[in-house]
Amino acid sequence: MKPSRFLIIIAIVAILGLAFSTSLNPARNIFVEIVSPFSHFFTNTGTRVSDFFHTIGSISRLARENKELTTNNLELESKLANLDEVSHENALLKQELGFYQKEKENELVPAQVIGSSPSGFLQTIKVDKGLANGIRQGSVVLSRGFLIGKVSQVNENNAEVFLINNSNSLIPVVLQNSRGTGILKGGLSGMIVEDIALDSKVQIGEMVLTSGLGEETPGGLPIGTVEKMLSVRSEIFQEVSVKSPIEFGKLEIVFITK
Amino acid sequence: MKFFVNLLLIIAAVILQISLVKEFSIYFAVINIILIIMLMLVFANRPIEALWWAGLGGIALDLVSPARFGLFTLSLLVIYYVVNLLIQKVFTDPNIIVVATIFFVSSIFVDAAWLFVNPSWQVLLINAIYNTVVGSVFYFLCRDRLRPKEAIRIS
Repeated sequence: MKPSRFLIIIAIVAILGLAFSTSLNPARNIFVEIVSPFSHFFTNTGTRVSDFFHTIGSISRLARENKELTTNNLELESKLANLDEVSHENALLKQELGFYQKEKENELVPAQVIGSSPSGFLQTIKVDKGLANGIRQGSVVLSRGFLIGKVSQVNENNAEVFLINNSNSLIPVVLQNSRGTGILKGGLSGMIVEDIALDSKVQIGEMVLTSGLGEETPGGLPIGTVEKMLSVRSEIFQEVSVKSPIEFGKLEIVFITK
Repeated sequence: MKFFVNLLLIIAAVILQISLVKEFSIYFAVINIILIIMLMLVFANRPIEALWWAGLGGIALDLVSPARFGLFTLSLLVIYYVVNLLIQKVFTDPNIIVVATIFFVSSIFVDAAWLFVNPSWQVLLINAIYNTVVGSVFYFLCRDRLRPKEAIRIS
């Protein structure tokens, strides 16, 4: 085939594709299914190799962290014991007051990460579960119990997840202790909660949870902890940076709500 | 035969693009393997293979991309056409400045459409610098191997 003819044919395919992008989802689905075993292999290999070098470079930090975590674990165990007691007491009081426990019906589907966005502009991942597994657009995606994103596009056997560290991701959140509410945004400088009222006494290290406002994301899902204050006193709203325990670049298995 | 070898290499490059490349991301910026190889082939005076990489590589990238189908293909084809014209008519033996400039401008052109999805100028700039550095280094390292054998014999 002549190069000029090849160029014209491909250009026509692209222009038609641009016009009827959604009709090409089945073709995308088939292609992703073909390449997914290989991309899954390379995703895992890449993560492991990078983890290996990262671990070597941070042995002393790991030892210190291990010590801190052991201490934290003991504290948490004691808190957990208290919480069990509180939960029991809470259940009893609800029974007394005639409340009924609203069961969470969200079933979690484990999914493997098979790839990520080919461009740096969108922080997305591809997972190997789709419509066939009950996943739908807007389903919440979690890793180790923390919110990491939402399903933005779903095909028969795979789905695209829009991660919360995207600069155009906006999630209404609440700070657990101070009860300050705000909007969580992603971006190059990390995740930031904006528009927190000045009268909220924000504490460093407090948990950031989804507030459930707007009903797009269920409330009460942990996202991370407050890392530092970014705003100064003269500003009309407070702004804090949020640290997630999840490394978004190293996701291998995630959980999606049905 | 050559076509099928290139097709397999294109699919392998796209697999690497969606899996391994993110491990080397700098502030969200990632290199575009297809763009870099396509431009290297144009600089090395292998326009037919470069066209396969632009066309088929673009389609493969669009198939795995969350954005609208056609963005990668069209931008890569336009870059191929313009750069190939420049290399054939003006810069027959491109030096480091020409190569780096073409990598930089091409990267910005490929990414420009993404600004509608995420208006992040920082990512655009870091992507362009990243592609320029990696592309230029690889091109000058592999230049002699990339050039067609006939051309080497004549020179």
